[in-house]
Amino acid sequence: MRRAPTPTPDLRKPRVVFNPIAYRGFQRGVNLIAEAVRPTLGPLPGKVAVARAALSLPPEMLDNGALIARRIQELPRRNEDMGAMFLRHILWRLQDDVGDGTATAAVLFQSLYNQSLRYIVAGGNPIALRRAFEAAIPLIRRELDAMTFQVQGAAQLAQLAESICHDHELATILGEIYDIIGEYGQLDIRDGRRYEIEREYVEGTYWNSGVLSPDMITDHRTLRVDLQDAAILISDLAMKEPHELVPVLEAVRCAGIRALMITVDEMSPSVRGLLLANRRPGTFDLAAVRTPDSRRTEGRMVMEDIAALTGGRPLIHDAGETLNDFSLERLGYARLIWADKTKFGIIGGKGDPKSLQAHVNNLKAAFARARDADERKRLRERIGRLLGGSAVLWVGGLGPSHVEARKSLAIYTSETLRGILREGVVPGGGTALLDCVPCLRARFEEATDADERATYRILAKAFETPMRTIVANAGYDASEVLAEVKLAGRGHGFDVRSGRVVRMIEAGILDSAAVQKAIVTDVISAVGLALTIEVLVQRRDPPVAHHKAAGS
Amino acid sequence: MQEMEEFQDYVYAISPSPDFAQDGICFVGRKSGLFRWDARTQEWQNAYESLQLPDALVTPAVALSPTFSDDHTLYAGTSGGVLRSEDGGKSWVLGNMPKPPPVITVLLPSSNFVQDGLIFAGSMEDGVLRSPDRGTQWHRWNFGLVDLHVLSMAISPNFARDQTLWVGTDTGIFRSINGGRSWRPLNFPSELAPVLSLTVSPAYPDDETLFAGTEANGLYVSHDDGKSWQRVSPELFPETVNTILVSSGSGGALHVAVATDSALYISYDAGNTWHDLELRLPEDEGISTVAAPSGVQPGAPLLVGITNGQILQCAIIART
Repeated sequence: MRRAPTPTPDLRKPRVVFNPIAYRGFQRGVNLIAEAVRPTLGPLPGKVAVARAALSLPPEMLDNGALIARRIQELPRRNEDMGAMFLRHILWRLQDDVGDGTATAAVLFQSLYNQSLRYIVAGGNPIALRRAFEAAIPLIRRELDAMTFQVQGAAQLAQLAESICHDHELATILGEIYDIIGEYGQLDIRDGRRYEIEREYVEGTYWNSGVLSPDMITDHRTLRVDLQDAAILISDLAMKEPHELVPVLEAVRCAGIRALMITVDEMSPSVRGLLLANRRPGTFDLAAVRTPDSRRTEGRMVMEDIAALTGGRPLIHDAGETLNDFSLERLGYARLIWADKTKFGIIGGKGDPKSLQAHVNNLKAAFARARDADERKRLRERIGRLLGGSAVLWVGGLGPSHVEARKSLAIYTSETLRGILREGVVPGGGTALLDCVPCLRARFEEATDADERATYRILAKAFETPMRTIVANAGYDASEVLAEVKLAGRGHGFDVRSGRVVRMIEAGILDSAAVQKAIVTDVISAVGLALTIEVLVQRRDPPVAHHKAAGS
Repeated sequence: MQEMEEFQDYVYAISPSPDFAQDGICFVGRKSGLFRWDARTQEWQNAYESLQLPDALVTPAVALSPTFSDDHTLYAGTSGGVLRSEDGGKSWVLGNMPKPPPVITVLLPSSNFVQDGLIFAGSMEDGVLRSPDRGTQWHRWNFGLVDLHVLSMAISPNFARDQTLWVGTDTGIFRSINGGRSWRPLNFPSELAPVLSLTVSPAYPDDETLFAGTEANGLYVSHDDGKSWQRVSPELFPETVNTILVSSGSGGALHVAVATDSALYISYDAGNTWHDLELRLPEDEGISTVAAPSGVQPGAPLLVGITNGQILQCAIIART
């Protein structure tokens, strides 16, 4: 008789976990991430040492909540892992969206989730709780709006930046930069060449797309071509035949135009030869660059922006247009158009200022509507370009890893400063959330439904947690300090550096309103969602690609 | 009224010496160049004589250092850059300008010039240029300045503290609160622009008052730092307002002088009531600009630039 085959477990087969096991595991994961991030909350953050992949290297010393969470890529117990990854994702998204607030979000989430679970285990209704949580969000946002005020000036921005990045030199320069470029300004953050941090302001705007041929570069000292009082032919056409371009060049020359920049998707060597042959330095300057992102949807947007800046009208391949559709009215103009091997830029576009302002306003409206982080970034970059300047920040450090860490700090501090410029600031150090407590308590008193009352009680308690954590992290007795702060009244908080209860605005201890609102919205919605989880379905062998995408 | 001189060109700018009452010196930017009048000699001199220019150098803007009597420093904004003289116009140096060379329309030294050495230039197509070193190096600073056609500028009397200045452009008014390094639009309706003239109250930190004169829509005032604007006396100022001058009078009253194309009005109560100076202008000519060397005070002199190149000197009428 043949022996029966040995059954082999299918690791891809899902494992289904029901409550209360699901809750417990999920909760352990949430608590693990929150506790890992908790020491970093406040102006005197503790460090978290994270082992590197190469064990011979010293551990990374981190005080950024999102980065710490990001380093925790997988927990051995799958139920815990799901809870941990859930919170990790929230922190990460928050960091991407507003650049700060991850530690506050972690402790707030933990408090809300743990309290709510206790209530549900005692018989509370998770669905009703979720509804009540979501209904509380607008109320809390209105409270935060009422506390919000605008900041201005490099000094105030630098002070706020330092409270985020704890790097005085970086904060001072970022304060100056954002005072100049504003909330939409374009800032390139690059590896520095020295230990110090340096900045440079770039006039006009530029795109990452260079000249089509090195022969078009006329200034061999700066390795670029400068066209003064130039016209620009904006297109995403492929120019293959010289005879197509000849009438264009003739018309331009006859119109007395002394310099012409052409943007194209592609230009054949023979057309390039035609341009170079007809070039007369000083009297008829010619150059061509590849239209930035010409083969993607963004290419059309870049052409729209160049058109708004210069007053031109693009020749668009997808609209069936060719060089035969060219007329002088389609040219744009600028005081200076420049290009080098990798970039081309425009200074002093001569487009109609009213049309340009209208274009910028449309983009700002789209930015306000956009929810997707990438789309918001794209729109912000476009607005920044149109507003006439950009800055480059060269981040130096002691070595490559120090530079990387400082660059990362610079990136998320920048994001927060943009939010501050856009939406203002609120009293910092957990005061803004603490000052929401009276209105939550008032709602608690008004509510008659048990789940609703529980929601406001849970929120009121949770909104004390960020200040408690900041105080405790600085080595003070949180209960004692909180009692003092509450006695001092609205707007007061604890300055952990001086060890005194102060009016936070007067002490200059401020937080980004955008960050606080994002924390409230993201965390409360996420807690509501997490509370409704009844079942965990696990893959025993998570697909590698998915895992990498979420973790790297 | 005394007719000082006649030139067949256009007066763009008049800049009297800060000690005009004593030294009687004033510089006039014209289509035909820059001219210096010395009260002691009663003579006009071509201030560009040392340059031996083959053609007239159009000079739309001129500005004197607040300590001109000591340092003899003045600036001339031309179609090609800003010239600087440190000897009262005897010799000139061209400031180091960005390319292409800008056409300067207005020059404005910082109200804290002695300490900070900052001077600003508005230009026809290049926005605002800023020199941090008394006019040697110039850089364009146009972050946020969507309209690069600058027609007028004004600076806060408290600039050393608030770092605030304004520019009037073809499409509205922009404000900088960081010493001219970035700009934000003010809430001035673009359909009322271009803004030819802009002035700030000497008590701006307290009264937050700004005046804006437009090319075709009259005179506007804001008492809330540019957040809202009210039209002033449309019957007197139906269209072009070329120049607005303001001074503090006795008891803190705001004295205002406003020049339209054809008339010059004085108000001693912040623009509530107006007195016509009843200038006798040459036929078919108008007022292009006005300067008040001793401020807008009763009996003080006024220098009135005429569109044919004449300069008229008159006294401000007494308060009635």
